[in-house]
Amino acid sequence: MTSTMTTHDTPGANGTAADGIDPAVSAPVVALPVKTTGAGTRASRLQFLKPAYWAPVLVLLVGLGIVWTVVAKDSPYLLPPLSAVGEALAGNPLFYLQNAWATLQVALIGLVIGFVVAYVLAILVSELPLARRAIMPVAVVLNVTPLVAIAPALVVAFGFGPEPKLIVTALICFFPILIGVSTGLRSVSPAVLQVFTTLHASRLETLWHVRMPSALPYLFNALRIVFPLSIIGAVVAELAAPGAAEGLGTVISVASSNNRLAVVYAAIVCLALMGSLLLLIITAIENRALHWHDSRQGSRG
Amino acid sequence: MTTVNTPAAARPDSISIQGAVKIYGSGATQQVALNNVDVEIERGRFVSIIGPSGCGKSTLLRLIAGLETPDAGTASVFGVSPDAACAAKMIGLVPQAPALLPWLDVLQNVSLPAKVNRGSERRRKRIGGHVEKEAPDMSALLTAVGLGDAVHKLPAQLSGGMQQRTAIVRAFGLQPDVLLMDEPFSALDEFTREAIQGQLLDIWDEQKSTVVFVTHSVTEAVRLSDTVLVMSARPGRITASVDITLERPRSQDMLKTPEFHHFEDLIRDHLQSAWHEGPITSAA
Repeated sequence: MTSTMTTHDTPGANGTAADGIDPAVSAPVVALPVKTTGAGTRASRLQFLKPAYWAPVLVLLVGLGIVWTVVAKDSPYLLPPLSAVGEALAGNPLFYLQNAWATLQVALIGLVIGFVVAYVLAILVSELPLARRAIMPVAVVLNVTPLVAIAPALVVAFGFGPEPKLIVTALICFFPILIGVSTGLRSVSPAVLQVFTTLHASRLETLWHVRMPSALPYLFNALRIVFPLSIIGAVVAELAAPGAAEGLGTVISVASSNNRLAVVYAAIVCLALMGSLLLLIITAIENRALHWHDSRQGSRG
Repeated sequence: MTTVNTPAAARPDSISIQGAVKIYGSGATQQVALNNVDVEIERGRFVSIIGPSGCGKSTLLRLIAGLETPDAGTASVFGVSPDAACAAKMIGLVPQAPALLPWLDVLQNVSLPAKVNRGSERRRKRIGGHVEKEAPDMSALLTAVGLGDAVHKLPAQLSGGMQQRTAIVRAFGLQPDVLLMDEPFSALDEFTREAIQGQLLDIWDEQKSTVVFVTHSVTEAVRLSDTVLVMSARPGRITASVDITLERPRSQDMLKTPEFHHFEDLIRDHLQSAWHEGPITSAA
């Protein structure tokens, strides 16, 4: 044990010396490579193939499909037959793709606008108590205001162009990001802040090196909510502006006024797929960006 | 509330606390964390502060770190105010929790302090009390404490002991004039704790820093320190100062010697008499 004193003199002997000092501490170094995140994700990827993993949802879907078909047979004006929805989609896939793309564009651009504004305000709100007292009440009131009600007013103000759609989408995405990021920026532990205070790190340095990375888990939580919301925002705006050129919302409102239920549901299927796809993408990005986060670290010794 | 200026009597070769008073709360819930405390810590010394919970030992440390300002009295670090010392990166802090950034690996964590407050070098040169030292090789320092294999690991992949060693290297990496440690090993098991104490002494010996070490372990205080300050609570004050004259280096074997036990007993006696003197009934 006296070798403790000389470890720094002989770098070559360090590995063994360190192991000799406290095996309790050093053991994880040896054990860890076996159970690093890489191995963990491979195992969870293979999990997809196990019937226990996909069978329950498959059974549920088949069951729902049967119920749907039975209802559709009796009253085709309540639900269109699934075959009709499939035919509508297969008959003119380009039509749905084009409209889906139009809606997606609105959703994503609106999301980016909402994100940028919310992020900047979140920094202001978490750094300046005055800004917090000014902005938060307004943001909360905005949040509880039904945006479906604002959409028609915006259409009157801005016409059938992209502006009202982008505004509605941005507004709907704004609040979750503002709350998530401003909470995250203030989630840094006091001990870490004390270390950076004794370093005399500037507020900007603390923000960049400590607060913004600390806020990432909160940001991704917000994004998981907001990505599907952005599509809702875009569709609501399209529904409020009938006669607008493109978009799945427009497709739905036109088709439903013509009693073409199969087309309505075909468009809804497209929206559901788009929302799921966005959720999948954001989760994949999150897994990559937050590999360091507690929730993604397997249990360790 | 007096503002703390650099006292005229501030000495460039010591950390000096004079007549420090710190009171938390007001009225009935008022608690005197520090009552007229005088401390003089010379450069290069390893000084421990020991005492029961709530005796104000952490408050004293935070005073030196500039994280608190005294309600009366003065604090100076090698001739300048704690705030100026922080601005010149003369102070390294090792808190009770390792306080590592979980998204950075070990090497990035210990290298981050060099990336903030870049003006500190300039400020350091202007301070007479500062002793110039070369920036250390972080990888070598990590290897010296047995973290050579863990350089690219994330904090979550490390044990508690390894995390705390990383935090120590981070603080030493600045070549601070004084290292402030607030019960850094209290969360570790005894075995790990004794091993890390040895490593801390190794680095301290090599870097010739001043260390102020807050602890509630008598054994730890005796093994590490040149001087042990005993504090008692309500009001927080220093009741004894014991010079530990054991020779260095102090190995783990030394913990079993009669000389070592002598100093342990001495400090226990001081702690106990402080405990009996002080009003034990809660002032809060």
